[in-house]
Amino acid sequence: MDQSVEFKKLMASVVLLERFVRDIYPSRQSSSVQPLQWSILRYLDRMPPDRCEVRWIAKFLGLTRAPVTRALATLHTRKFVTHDISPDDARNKTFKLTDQGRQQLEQDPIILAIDRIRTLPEDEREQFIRSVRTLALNTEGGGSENP
Amino acid sequence: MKTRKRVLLVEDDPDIRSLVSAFLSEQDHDLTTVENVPAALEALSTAPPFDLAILDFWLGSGHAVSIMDAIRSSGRALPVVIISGGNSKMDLEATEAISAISGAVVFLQKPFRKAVLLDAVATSLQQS
Repeated sequence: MDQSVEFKKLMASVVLLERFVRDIYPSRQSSSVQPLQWSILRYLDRMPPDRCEVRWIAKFLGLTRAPVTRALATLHTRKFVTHDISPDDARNKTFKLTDQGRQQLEQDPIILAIDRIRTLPEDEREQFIRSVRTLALNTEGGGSENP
Repeated sequence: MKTRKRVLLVEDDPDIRSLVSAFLSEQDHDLTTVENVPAALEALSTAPPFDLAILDFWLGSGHAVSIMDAIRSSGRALPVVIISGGNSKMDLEATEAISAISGAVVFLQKPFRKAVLLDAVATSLQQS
């Protein structure tokens, strides 16, 4: 394929990909749950209690503690999470979902994305999954392992 | 009667390799340990087949995806547990997602407790 044609097609497909992701978060109002907050809700929903401290959440998401702490404070204010003193260290808090938080997760935008991807024919769906994996490995791989 | 299971452990960190080996030794499994992708592929090609693979995600300049792809290509239903402490260029959320796409049944974040590993092994072996 001609390089300029290929570039144009790639540009167009990335535009569509960006729109696809943007569209699953329909509201950008400050009152809506933000992408990082969704990631934290998902994390708390499936991780054991001893991994539900700020340091573990931040490490999992590749962030510093500050944005995670802020996001948890917002989720706490909205009554989606609650916290206890960590049994391992009284200086740390262990977070967990409230019933309201679990109900909120049923509205997780990622479910909408999954439903849309499921409409693809099986071979295209498989190819999509493999392509996303390859892109993630090519883009992010190759660093040094954390100790 | 309890059946002895064959477990492949692929881990490039000698300390973690011996720690995981010690954890698993109490379970009376037949454990094979290797430290890189080529050695893992070699071990997988020998008979009898393994019942479970425990793979560190980052293995020197390689990663466990190539091992999982080889397992899938061979048509074997070998359950895989991925262990990872993350990487300077890829967070654990992405590492776990890639592992799931590649067929891992359990993803464990390092460091993990002995009970967590043994639980993951038991759960995964039920699928083998």
